[in-house]
Amino acid sequence: MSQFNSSLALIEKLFKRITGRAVRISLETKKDDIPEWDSTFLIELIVELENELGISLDYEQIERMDSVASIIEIIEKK
Amino acid sequence: MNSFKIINLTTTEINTSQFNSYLDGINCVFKKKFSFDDLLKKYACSSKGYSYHALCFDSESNVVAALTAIPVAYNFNDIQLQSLLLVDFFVNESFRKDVLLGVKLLKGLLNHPENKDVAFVYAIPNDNAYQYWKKLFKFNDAFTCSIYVLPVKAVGDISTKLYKSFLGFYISFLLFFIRNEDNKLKNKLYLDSSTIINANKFKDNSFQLDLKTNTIVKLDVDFGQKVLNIFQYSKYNESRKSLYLIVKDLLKTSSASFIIYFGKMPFFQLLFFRIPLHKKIMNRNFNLIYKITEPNFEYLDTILKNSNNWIFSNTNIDTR
Repeated sequence: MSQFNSSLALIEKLFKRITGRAVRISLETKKDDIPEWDSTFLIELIVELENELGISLDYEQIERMDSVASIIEIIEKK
Repeated sequence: MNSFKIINLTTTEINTSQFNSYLDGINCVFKKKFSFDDLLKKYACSSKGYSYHALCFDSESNVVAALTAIPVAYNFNDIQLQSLLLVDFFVNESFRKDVLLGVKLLKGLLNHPENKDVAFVYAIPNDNAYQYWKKLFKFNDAFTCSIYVLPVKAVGDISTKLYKSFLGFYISFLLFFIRNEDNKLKNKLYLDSSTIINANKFKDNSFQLDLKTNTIVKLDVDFGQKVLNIFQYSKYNESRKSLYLIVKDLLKTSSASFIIYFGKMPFFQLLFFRIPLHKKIMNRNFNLIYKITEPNFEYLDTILKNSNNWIFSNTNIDTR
């Protein structure tokens, strides 16, 4: 599996863990497409990403996280 | 996304209609019943006599999100430090899609011209806000607050009298072994008198002030038991010795079942049971977090992160 696909699968898994339901996502999925995506969701996502990948996200990166594509771009640069 | 406008105001600048809308927002989000006066007094209990509010208004001029910063002046080795205590942070559910709204509110407060000399901001947030400030604004952990408890009542009047006599004797024994504590405030971060004076202006009848010993206690009834809460046990010299002396005095005069102290004692003591306020015990954590906001004060980081440097009680956070 390519790095892109594994990142997408990871995000899908984390979205499911946070929302408690299966969430179908693609590169085109945006913040407004996920009803649960609010500040609590984002914080949980940051915590999960940092734990899963052993990375630390800074404010500028978090500020850009408004779509699945932007999340993949940020974590793949880490 | 809903449109909004953020306005930064001091407590004295907010008009009645704005304050009522803010009050409605707080009471709705936190499911509380604070009154206009409750909040007004709380925000006036600061080193400046007022607080700063970042208010987010929707298109119909309703307050839909807000963050308040109470100015608190501290002393550290004869240097006065300005800080802001962050309280009452809320975002109406319909505005939570803007995940960075809280950060925008905080940046607005810090950009207020009067806050240029602020060394650090701190908070004891609820669990959601804790993660929010930690992850989005890189706040640091300082310590977890504890509740210190001393039961002072036994079953029956005679037993209580005997038990209190024993406690008095035990405290005398402890005091006998305490040596000179002249340097107790060296390297300690303690409230500046400007904050304490303003805080004391608004204390109601449930507080007892003893000017001779600089003691402030508050009598509450919790679970049917009288609880004496020590807010302050010596205005400028909070030491183990003054704590023991105050408790010895309180034993003679108070009919409370428990004497408690909330916060962090910066010394080892052998009188109170310490219960750290973790989520397992309470329904939330009581972690103090801080963020240095001015690069000139970066040196404070090692001081703030060490819990032994703080003299911290209810007076630091609940100044009413």
